[in-house]
Amino acid sequence: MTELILDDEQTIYQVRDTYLQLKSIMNESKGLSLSLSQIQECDCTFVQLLLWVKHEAERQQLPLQLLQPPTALVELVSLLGLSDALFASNQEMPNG
Amino acid sequence: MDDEGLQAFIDEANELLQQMEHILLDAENAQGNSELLNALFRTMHTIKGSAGLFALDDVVKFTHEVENVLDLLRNGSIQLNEALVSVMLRCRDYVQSMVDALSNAAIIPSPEARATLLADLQQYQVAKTMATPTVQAKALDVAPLLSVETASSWLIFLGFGPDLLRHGLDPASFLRFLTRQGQIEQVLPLIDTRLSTSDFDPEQNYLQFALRFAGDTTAAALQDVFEFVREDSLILITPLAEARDFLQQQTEQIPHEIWEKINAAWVELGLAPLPSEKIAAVDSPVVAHPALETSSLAGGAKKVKTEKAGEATFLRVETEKLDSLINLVGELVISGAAGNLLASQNGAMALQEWSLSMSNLIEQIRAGVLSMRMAQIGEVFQRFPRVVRDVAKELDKDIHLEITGAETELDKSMIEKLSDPLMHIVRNAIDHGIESKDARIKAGKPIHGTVYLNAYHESGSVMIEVSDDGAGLRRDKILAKAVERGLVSAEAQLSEQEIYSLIFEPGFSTAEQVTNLSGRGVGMDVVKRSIDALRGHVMVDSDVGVGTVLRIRLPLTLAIIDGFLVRSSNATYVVPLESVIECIELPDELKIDGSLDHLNLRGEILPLLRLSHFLELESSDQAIERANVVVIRANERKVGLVVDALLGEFQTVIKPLGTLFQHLKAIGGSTILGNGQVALILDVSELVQHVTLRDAEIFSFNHELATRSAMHSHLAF
Repeated sequence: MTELILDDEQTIYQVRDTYLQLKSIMNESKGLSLSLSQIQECDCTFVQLLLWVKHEAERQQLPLQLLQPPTALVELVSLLGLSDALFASNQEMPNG
Repeated sequence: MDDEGLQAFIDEANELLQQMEHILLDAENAQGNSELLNALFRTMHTIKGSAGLFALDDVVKFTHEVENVLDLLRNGSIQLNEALVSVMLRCRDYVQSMVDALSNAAIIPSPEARATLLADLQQYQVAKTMATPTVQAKALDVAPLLSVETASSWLIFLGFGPDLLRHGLDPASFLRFLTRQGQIEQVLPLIDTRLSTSDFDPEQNYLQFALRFAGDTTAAALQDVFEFVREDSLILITPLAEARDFLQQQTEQIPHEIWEKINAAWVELGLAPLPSEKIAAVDSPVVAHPALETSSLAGGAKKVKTEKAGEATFLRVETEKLDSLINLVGELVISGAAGNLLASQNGAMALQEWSLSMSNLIEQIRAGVLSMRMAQIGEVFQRFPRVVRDVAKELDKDIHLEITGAETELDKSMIEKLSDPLMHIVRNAIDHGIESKDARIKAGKPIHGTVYLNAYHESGSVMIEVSDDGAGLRRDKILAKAVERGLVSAEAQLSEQEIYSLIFEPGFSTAEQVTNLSGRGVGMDVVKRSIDALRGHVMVDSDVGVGTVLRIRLPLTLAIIDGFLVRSSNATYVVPLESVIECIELPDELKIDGSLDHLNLRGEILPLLRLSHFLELESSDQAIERANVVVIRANERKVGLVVDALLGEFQTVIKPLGTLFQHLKAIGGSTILGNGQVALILDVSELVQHVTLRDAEIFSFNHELATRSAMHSHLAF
């Protein structure tokens, strides 16, 4: 299981880099544990990316953990009506 | 109002207006090119959007009208013909005047112009409504029907397009904005199925939403929230009570599968299902999942990866910040050189290796930072297609403009100062250089004249050429006029160049139209003065009946050049490497500084310039022993520069000289060497010119002497 701590800013400006990083990890490792606790700023591109990660993990049957989502992310996901889709079956409950 | 924000808006608007003009002037290319037409549409759309943020209602209203016509254009409902280009250019100018008025209270956009333009724009919109309406999945404006009625429960479908995120918009911000007008009771995210395919593009939007919203508001007010996304999104808003009728009305306009998707989502949110659906809805899991998967809007996928034509991305940085960065990098270079020295003295291998890699990095930083200060001359050139078009139209001439070398770089501050003189020269070329259509036919020339703008680097300078295939300059007429004006005496024997340069004399240009460069009130002397202020030169070349070429040579202040270091009398100088042809040893017979100032270079006479003598440096006897000649070239002339030692190549950062030294023509700038020493950069073209003049004087003096002695000998007989 590869652990990755994401940086504080996850918006459209970083999303391509983060995507490429996650893609290569998922292709090579046996599981992914994403620590979201550092994130201070994020937008819909990041939420989409998380959706993609979830799909991809299911497709490749990789274990996935989305750990410690910060309040800002939880609120954004809830505003978009995606809480169930992203965090419902997650091992870790939102801390905010 | 936020001044900084407003300034950013003004800058952005100026750029967009320039881009708009650029596309319009190339109408032939734009017609039928959907990318360019989209880019054209986006110029007005973006200005409208940004103006809305600053509550510039006048700008928003006007650009909205222009945008509507541009929308018809990109839909193919109307064609980009000559008349529409003219209207659009005038609209552009009007928007420009509104933008200019924001920073300059003296500018008042003309209300008459606005009324006329709006009437013109209206015609295109009327013409379109007569044509068959296009059935497309695009914004459906239901506002007019419902705007006055308030309701409290709403169904909303937000079919955001795939490019939404790339346009800098975030779906979440719309939802947040909606919450200010009421309460989002339920939100159903509709995720595009392509999110889970291998084609996933993280910058593309895959999210659409169906909402149930509560708030006492009007459809118009809700529509306003989505004003800026309507162009490539499908936004539907309706009171819950009327939702069924509303959706039924849309069956024609919306592709079936999207209609089905909206219907399913709205039923989930409380819309009464169609009678035939009632049973199916119970069993069908289609909408049961909170993240309903769906396919995106028809046609949306096509746009995904196409880069927007004609759009460039830039980051705006204050010049001051950049200048201080350049200075700091200069300091870094010097301090790096000191580090190198210490490392090599210390002798530790690891330290030396580190110092070497550090120097490499510093070198790259320096190159990078300096290139930021440079801009392409195309910035100025791109204004000319419009000028040429307008002036040519005004004068009823048919004129083509050909631009080459637009990518040539020079210092940004020079580019700004070049604009006016170049504009003047180009106007002159069109006005007086190119003949009227009749005259051209009589002369057997093509009916359309051509003005060429060209730029290139030569011998460490930037050359800018403005040429035309017009009537050319009549030397006899220039000379006659100059004599009449008392600028030269009637007996003066002037060379071709000297005669042409008379047109730059103050007082000459007010003459009647005798040359192709006269007239227009402001004279060519102003052009000359502006170029002089940039420490440049203007040269004219002309052939009667064939055309005129005006060449401007400018120094590359604050640029990076490859320099060649030489030493003369214990001081180091830099010669731009581009102008160095070869280096040879000074033959013994020439080592003594005497009258023999020419060298036989493989059968060619090479005039010599002794640098220490020329710069009046204290010469040391030791130096003469090792004298070398650096053969330099400028303006097709070669000169041998006699120096004491050759020190090799060096990448040189040109720092301009202070104002106190600006009159020193032979020195083009200064630079700081790695050891912290200052070296002066020689201005090769000035040195060559000096030698040419010197030789001309010597030869004419000799010639005079020879003539006199011949006369004496005649007399003696």
